[in-house]
Amino acid sequence: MGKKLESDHKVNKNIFLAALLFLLIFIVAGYSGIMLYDSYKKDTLEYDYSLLNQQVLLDDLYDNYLEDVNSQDEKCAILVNQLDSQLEVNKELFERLTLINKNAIVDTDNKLKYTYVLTNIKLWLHYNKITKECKDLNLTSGLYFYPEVKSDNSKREMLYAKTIVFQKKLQEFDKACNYDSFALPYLSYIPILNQIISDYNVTQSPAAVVNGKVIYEFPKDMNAEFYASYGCTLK
Amino acid sequence: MNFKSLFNKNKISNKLFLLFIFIVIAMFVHYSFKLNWFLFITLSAIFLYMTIIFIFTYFLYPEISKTKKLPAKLPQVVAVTYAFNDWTAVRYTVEKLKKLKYPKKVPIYVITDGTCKFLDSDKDITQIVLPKKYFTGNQINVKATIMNLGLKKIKTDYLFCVDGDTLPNADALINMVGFMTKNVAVVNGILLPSNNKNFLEKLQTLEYNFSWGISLRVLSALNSISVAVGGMCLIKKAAFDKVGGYDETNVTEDRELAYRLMEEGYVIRCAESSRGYTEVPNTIKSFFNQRFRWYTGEIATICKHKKFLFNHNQDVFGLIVLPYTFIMQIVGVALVIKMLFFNFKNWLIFNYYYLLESLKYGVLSLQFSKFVYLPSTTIMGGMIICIFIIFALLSFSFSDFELKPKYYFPFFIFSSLYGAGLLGIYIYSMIREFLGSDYRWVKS
Repeated sequence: MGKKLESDHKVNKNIFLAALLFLLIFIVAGYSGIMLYDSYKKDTLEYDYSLLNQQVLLDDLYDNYLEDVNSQDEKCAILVNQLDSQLEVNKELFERLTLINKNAIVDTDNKLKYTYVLTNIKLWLHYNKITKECKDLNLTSGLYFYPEVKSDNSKREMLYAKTIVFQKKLQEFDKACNYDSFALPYLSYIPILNQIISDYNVTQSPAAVVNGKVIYEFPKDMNAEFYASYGCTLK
Repeated sequence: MNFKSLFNKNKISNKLFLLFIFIVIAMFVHYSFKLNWFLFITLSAIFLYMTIIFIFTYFLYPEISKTKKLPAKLPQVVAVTYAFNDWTAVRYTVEKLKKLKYPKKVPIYVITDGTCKFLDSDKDITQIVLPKKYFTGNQINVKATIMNLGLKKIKTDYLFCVDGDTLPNADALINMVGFMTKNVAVVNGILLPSNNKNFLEKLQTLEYNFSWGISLRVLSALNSISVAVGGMCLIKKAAFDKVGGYDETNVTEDRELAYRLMEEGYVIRCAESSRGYTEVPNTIKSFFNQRFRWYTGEIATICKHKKFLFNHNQDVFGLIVLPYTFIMQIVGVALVIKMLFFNFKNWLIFNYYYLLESLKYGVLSLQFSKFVYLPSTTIMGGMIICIFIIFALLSFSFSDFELKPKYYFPFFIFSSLYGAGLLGIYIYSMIREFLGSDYRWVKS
């Protein structure tokens, strides 16, 4: 096609090779940077897991210790202490997750997410134990199932919109009743989650489980009767 | 939509080529969600590679577009401009042409339709009056038609072509002539806006100072300037005649001419000290029309000369610069579609349901912050903006443009949204070109 371009000014072809070399240097440097960041992330994760291990050991110790305690007040005090330390670990995990989410170049570590889900379930169970054993403390907890849709379609947007509004109403409800809700993804492929979902017969998300009852939608007017139906007495 | 023109006006091969581009864009938009990381690394590597080449070239050839010595045997140069429909502003252009510095007399020709009576009394110029039929809307490109007809009547070595609303500096011509060596067919000057009062004009001032800066020196050094700037350039008459003048069916005759000159083995240079000032559109409508014309013409030119892509005869231009520009334009278009279409669509769907859900509780609210940004898109966008700002600032210093506080906000818009807006017009132009739009050259 056409004549060969002829110019008294010849382009030095070494420019392209040199640029390629520089590009390779950039890529190697970038790759090394990612590897360094990765190893730093691994270290942080290892720290998180060691923290969790400690917590598991601590829970065992508490449970053993509780067996020998006869006083109900002392038992409750130990359970509350245990709860505090669990909350501390959970808070730290949550912060880590938020940080990773914010700075994520790659997707959030699913293992950590999964661990967070498990610690939330653990916390909820512990809350239930305190509710049962220490009625005077008047602690009530609930579960909140949020949807996790990965595909990019209108269903996800619809669920996302519904979830945000639902969350606001749940926060309003929890505040009025002094309840604590533990958020869990509505994922049936995780065995423990599947167990809870089927135990409470939760058919869709977002949904909340309070006092064994499932809420899929809050009424426009949340009156005293509504609160009472979930075991809540307004202050 | 003109269905007849869909099949008749343009060649089927050009339509197929555009269709191929649309398919590539659609595939990119569709798969970019799945190949997020792969695309990010590949595109970043290409972008980085070209940026390094640009930087190396810039520093390796600092003299490439600096004023050269005049040849021992001075060539004959004539200045040519055009005016019609009683275009009075051409008087200012003519006055500037009279002041051009050159060791020889530079005859001034004005191609007109005979309506510019104010020129009749001027003894220093020669009017080439053409029949009015050439100045009507029947011509796809009036400028190309009248220039072809007018220039046939002129015998000279070089043509100093200037638009009727361009004001060249006195040394614009003399700074160009030295570049005209054996295979150089065109020397471009640097055009800057003469009006910069309103926001749109300021944006274009930034754009012109950016575009006519470093990139021209680099492209010149890579033998890759692919436009014979219609506003102000020096053309070798023999080369112009050899390729048959301007293409009267293309609305960007200056770009199309450059491709045919390159096809004949010629190169185009840029004289960085040859400055001229031109009026830029000051309303959204005129701006849109101008860009629509530029992009439609550019797309038509690329379609017509698609054989330039990956053509080793065209050296760096055919093998690297044109494919890179072409790929980046496609990627840019795809990214804009992806961002606007998918993210905006998702935002709308989300807010529709959010509103419905909120209304259940008697609350009317919207969420504006809910946009989905893929990390790679954000990082790549950030990287491009950073490099863009560095380039812009270097370009400004290159063209002696001072970024005063009154330009801060326009510069922010220029760095962030302006490109996306231009790509929007580019997408529109592509679709119109594919559908065979009946577009004609309009003086902007």
